Amino acid sequence: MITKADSGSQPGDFLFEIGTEELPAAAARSAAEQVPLLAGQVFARNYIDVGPDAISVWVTPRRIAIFIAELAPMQQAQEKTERGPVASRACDEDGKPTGAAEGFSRAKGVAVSDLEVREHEGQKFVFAVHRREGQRTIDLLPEICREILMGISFPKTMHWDGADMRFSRPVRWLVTKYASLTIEYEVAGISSGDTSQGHRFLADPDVVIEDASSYRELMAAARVMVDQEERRRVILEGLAIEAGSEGASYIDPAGELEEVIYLVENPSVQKGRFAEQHLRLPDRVLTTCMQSHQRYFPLTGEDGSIVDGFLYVINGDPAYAEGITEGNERVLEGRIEDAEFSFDKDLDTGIEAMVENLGKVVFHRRLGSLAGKSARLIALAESFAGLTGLSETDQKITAAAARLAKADQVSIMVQEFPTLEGYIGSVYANLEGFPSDVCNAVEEHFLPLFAGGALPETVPGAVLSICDKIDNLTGAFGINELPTGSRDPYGLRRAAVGIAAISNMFAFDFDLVDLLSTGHRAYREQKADISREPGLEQAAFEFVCDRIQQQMVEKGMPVEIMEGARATGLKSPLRLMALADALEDFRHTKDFDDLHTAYFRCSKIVAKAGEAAGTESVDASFFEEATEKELYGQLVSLEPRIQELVGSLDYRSALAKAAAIRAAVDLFFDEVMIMADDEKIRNNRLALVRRTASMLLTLGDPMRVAAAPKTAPGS
Amino acid sequence: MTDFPTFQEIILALQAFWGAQGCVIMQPYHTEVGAGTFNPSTFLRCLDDKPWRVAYVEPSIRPSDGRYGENPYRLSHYFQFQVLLKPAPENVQDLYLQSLAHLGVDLATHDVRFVEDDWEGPTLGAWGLGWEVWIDGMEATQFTYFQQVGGIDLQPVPVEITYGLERIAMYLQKKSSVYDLVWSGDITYGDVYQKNEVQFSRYNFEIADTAMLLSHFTDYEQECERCLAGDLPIPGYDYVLKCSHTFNLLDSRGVISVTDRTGYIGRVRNLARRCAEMYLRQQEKGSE
Repeated sequence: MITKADSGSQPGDFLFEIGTEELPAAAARSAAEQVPLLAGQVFARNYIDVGPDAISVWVTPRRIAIFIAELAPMQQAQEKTERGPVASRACDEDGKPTGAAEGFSRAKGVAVSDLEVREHEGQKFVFAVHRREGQRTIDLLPEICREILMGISFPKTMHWDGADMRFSRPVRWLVTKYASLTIEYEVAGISSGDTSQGHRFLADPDVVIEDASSYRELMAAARVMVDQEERRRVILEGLAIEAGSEGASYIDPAGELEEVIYLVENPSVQKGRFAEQHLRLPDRVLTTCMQSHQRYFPLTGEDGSIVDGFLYVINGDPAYAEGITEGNERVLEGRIEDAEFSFDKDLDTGIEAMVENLGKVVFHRRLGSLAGKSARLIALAESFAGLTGLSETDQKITAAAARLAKADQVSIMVQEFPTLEGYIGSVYANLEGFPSDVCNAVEEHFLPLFAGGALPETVPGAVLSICDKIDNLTGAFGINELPTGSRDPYGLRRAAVGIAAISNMFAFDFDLVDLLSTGHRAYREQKADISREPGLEQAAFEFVCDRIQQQMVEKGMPVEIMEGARATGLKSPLRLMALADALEDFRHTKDFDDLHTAYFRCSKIVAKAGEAAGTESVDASFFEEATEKELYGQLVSLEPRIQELVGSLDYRSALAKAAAIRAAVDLFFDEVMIMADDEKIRNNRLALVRRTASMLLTLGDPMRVAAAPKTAPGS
Repeated sequence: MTDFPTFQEIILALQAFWGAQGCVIMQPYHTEVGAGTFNPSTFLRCLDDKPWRVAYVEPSIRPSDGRYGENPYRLSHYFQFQVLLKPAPENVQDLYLQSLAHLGVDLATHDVRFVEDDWEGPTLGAWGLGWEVWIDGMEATQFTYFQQVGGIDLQPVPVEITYGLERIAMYLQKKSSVYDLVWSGDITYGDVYQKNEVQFSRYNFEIADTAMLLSHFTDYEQECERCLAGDLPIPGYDYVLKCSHTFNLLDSRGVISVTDRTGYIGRVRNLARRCAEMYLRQQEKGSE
């Protein structure tokens, strides 16, 4: 339905504005990302040409606006074809249509004259061709807008009245304009018209959009900056200017800017202060007070430490910024005083008293208290030190940190600001005179906070982090509370990739199953209500390997390579990853073919001979042929060299060395009769083959590796 | 004379405003609740499809939030002003903003925002989407379109507006301690409630008899079952509230572990859901 007589026969600017109650920042951001593609698809489905860059999507808390400059006035003509009989049957010698052609045209509802002869897979057929003239764009827009509106997806949606529609927040108005035409229609009880809404408080509420092309300017006049990129620019400029005028820099460690852009329609950057006396609080406490919830930007001085000012973005009238800032300052002052109150209470308690209190805090009903956890961490760290040959100093620091690591769990600060766990414990330890190495390890032991997040930087921090994760893994496996679907309440997936990342970074080479057993034993010694079923360590180990595998596959490693590496039974995450990397590199070389062939020939005959045959050790005195002596000689000299290379984690060189055995293997197979009649000789030869295969298998299963696609998917 | 509204004037103004919007002005419930949502005027009344508008002050009892009267922002006992409108009117945001203007907030010279805050009440089997409303950076109100209560999908959708009375008063009176708020004349909030905070903090954190509370929790749970067996969801729901408050006290005494928590919350939610279902069944039968 069109309000004016003008038929919209010229290209014109198009505007579709969805007016909402305040969208969550994440929903607004998601709309800004998905709607350009969605709108393009909807127009394409409706046969209306829209260039790939012609669609602008502007999102504020209160609107999602789609703007297309110079939208075509007509839909493209459409053609649909249906294949009929072969041409030779449809036409007689004179080219006249036969009865078959007439029957086909009747069935398809087209005139015989609309039949065309076209080629299909090298043969000529008759086709019924349906042509449809393009419709006017303005007649299609109501349906197009409806499809776009219904096509936007949000992680969380709601309903707000009797209609079926779901959206991130209630939709309250729609504006649809094609140049100066207003497109009127209704979706889920909401009427589309020409009236938008300006800034909630700073403009007349109703803004009539006369023409789509003037939308941006009209909204600007109504104190709404619709374009998120413009808001970003204005905010960034404002932050730079205001920080500069203070001779300071602003920081945004929590990345609040991306939120703030979608919290305002009329941004201006303002400056506030808090009482200087609060600067006695640790920087991260002040930063958390400013950033979490309030989304302020802390200011730092030349030395990078926090100063007594902050920047923030308002949506109100800059002319009244003074009063608005006063309110914001009072709120921040309250939050900081609240934190200070908690901080001082904690200082009164003291970290030693917190350690004492850990016995009263349940870690898990079946797994005992946090005091138990601290004791296990100490045991695990000791075991880890043994496995990796940690220096005595690092061992001492780690043990001291393990005792303190969980102390802040009973602090008021962590109750109030959970993100400060670890950090605030290290601050308390520091204030009580513990060495900085110990404090750093306490702070780092939660890292990484997410897959790919920052890792510990000190050895004791890294060790403690791994031990904490091992303890969580063994505990959860011991009570069978494993991640399901998107639920991972104990963060076990994160723990698994964290163990891998830290091992990689610090080149920690240790037997993970062994460490998991230590963890399990530590629980049992504390009489925790934990499963005694055998194989739990192995299950936890496989869980970690699965996560490592998934992570590497996500980065482009073929799954077969990971499986090939895991087939070695290596228990060290570091080795597993190093071998997989080496295999992925090596498999593209000519040498891999040698390795693969050598292994293939060996494994085939071993399989044929059966499990029992040739399991004794090789006895050189049974050799008869030169080639078997040669293979044995090469194997014996190769084995220690490969072991040496593997020892220094040089799997790539080890693979190249091992591949060289192919020549000897080929000669052996070509010239020696393995299945000799003499059982002793036969078994000795099989033993030689077995030993060759198992040497090769320590470097991954070549059969799995060979099964990997030649080029990685997506490359 | 003061140029700002006293604490009691704020309450009176909100009652007058929402009363004029057709709300029944109710009084606080007689049993301890953690929030106005628990009051049966909200919890039970939002379940059926009959229109319902209500407003009331509700004392919110949160034992573990006590700070011995020493912290100027934290209270174990504070006041909410609760509004429930069913169905949610299309202009409900505007109505709310008018109520702020009615309290003396000049909207054009301040920075009022609706910032995402999705609400979930696990003990009530309830959730909704909405915002916290900021006035110059201060969280003044929770604004929620209920989607589910007592595990029941709501149709029509009610909207709940919960004003934090102390915060709004601190904002309007420009006070930085809750105890300095002017309640009326020369009586301050501290005069009325500071001693209570000191004593209740001691009680909640140190004195409350945990063995007694643990057995009461089970008693209340069983009594709720008996009510339900007798087709009495309204008295039954009172025992849900008692369970919930008992749980909160046990929690502030620090005797509930993280994992036990889930178990207790699940038990309360289960009872709340069954009360809600029975109440709704009876409502539907009554309207036939």
